[in-house]
Amino acid sequence: MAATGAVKRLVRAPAKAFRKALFPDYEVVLRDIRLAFESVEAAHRGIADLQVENAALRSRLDEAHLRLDEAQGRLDEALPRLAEGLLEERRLNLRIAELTDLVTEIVLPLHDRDIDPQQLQRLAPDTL
Amino acid sequence: MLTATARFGDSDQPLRFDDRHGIGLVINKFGRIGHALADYDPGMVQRLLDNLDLIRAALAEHRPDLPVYVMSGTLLGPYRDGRIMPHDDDADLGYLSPYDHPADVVREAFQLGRILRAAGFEAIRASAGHLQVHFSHEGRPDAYVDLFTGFIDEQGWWQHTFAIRLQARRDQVVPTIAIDVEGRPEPAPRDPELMLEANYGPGWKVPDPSYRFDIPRSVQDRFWGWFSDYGMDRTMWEDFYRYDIEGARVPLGSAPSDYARWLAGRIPAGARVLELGTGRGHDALWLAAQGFDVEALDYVRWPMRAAAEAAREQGAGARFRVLNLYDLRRVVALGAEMGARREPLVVYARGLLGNYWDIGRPVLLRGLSMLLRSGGQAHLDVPRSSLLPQPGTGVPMHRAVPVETLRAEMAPYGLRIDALHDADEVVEDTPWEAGTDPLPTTRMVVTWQRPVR
Repeated sequence: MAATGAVKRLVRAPAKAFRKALFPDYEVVLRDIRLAFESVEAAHRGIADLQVENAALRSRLDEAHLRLDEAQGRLDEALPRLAEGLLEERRLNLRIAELTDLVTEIVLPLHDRDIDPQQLQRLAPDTL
Repeated sequence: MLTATARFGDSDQPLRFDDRHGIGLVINKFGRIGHALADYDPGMVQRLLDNLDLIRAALAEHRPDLPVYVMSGTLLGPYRDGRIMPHDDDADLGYLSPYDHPADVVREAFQLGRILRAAGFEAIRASAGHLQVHFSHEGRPDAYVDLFTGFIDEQGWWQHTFAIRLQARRDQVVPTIAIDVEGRPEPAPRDPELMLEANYGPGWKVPDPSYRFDIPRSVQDRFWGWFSDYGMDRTMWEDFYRYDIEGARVPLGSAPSDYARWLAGRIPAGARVLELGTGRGHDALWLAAQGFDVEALDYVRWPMRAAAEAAREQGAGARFRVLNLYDLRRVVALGAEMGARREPLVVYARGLLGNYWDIGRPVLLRGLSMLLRSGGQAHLDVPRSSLLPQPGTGVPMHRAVPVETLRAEMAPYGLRIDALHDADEVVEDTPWEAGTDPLPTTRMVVTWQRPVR
């Protein structure tokens, strides 16, 4: 063992010199390889994290799609009702105009002579 | 454009597309058969502008505050070159209401209609925001003048029947300016180009005889809601009677329907009869000749005049009037008028329900509930199969309405179907190719019951 150790000590320096001559960036490359391995490990960890995050996002997206589909369904159902309501509301304007016109132009003139002053007196007082 | 020469039959004469008066016909911007000003006699344009000025004067007399101006085609042609467009078919006036709420705008429009009627004009209501004023010349229908309603709402939208909706300030519309129309000054909106672009799009400067309106849904929906449509196929029915030369040859009163004969045998002798939707008036004249006291109405104008004239000539005693059963105000006034006589009335409406749009039925039923208050019956029929259930182009609808639907709709008005009779009747005198096969119909006898309070 001692002999082997001695050989190693004897060879190490020339081998190092030889390696340095032949491959001067060996140390740097070695360090880079270690760094690269560390980076790969970090990347794996990152990928795992991203996969977890992606799964969560996918789950949220699926939920959002479901909610959107439900909302779209409600909207599809509500839109015709809204349009119908809007039309009804707009037509109320016409109905008001027609009825006002009827009362002022036909009902009141026709019944003018029937107005009973005593009935008039009995009308409830209105706000001042 | 592709042009080609073709021969129909062996005639060497050019093919003409004319009405019975020899006035040329065109397919107008609404896809319907109509007249172009260029096809009338040379005095047409000046006569039309005279009529337009008479309308302006009548409005100014009663409403000097109301800004009235030429618009649509009567603004477009003259603003471009001082001339009325030869392919136009009428003259167009508009006004800017002082009101900003649709209900007030409509009330005012009703009042303007009364002003024109009181001034002697034949003003018909196309919608609560559109009047048509018709004229005759030498016994023939002349070109008409439209009067369109405009207002600026409280959000600053300038809404103008029948195609304009844009943000505008009042000072962009009034006070009016004068433009030259065939050599006479006529009022125009203050910023004519604003209105022309809103009406015809940015290409308005370039003449386009084939122009068709493409009105956004948002505009159509608003105007339909606020102003409705009081015409509801009236133009198509009027056109049908106007151009149906063959039908016009049948002597009036000489072709009663099976339904009229059937009715005559079921009602008291000399009964008062009111016919709704009488068309040419054959049944009304025939019933009058059988001794019934007949009054008849329809919303088509020329057949009512012809029938009234025939009644005078025949000494039949039937009275005819133009009345629009889609106009709640006119129908209620009719109900009040008839109800005031406090006599039972037979109301007769053949072929009405199949052509009558759903939107009008509450008006009709309200009218029936008033007409029958002094007793009597309404006789109405309804087809059991449809000839044309969907609206067509240039042809009015014809479709079956289930009796049970009618029964349910009548109940709130105190109307009750007392009897039903199945019948088969040939549908003639219509714009459709109905053929000679009888159409199955249901005849209803309806009475009014005083509601229990």
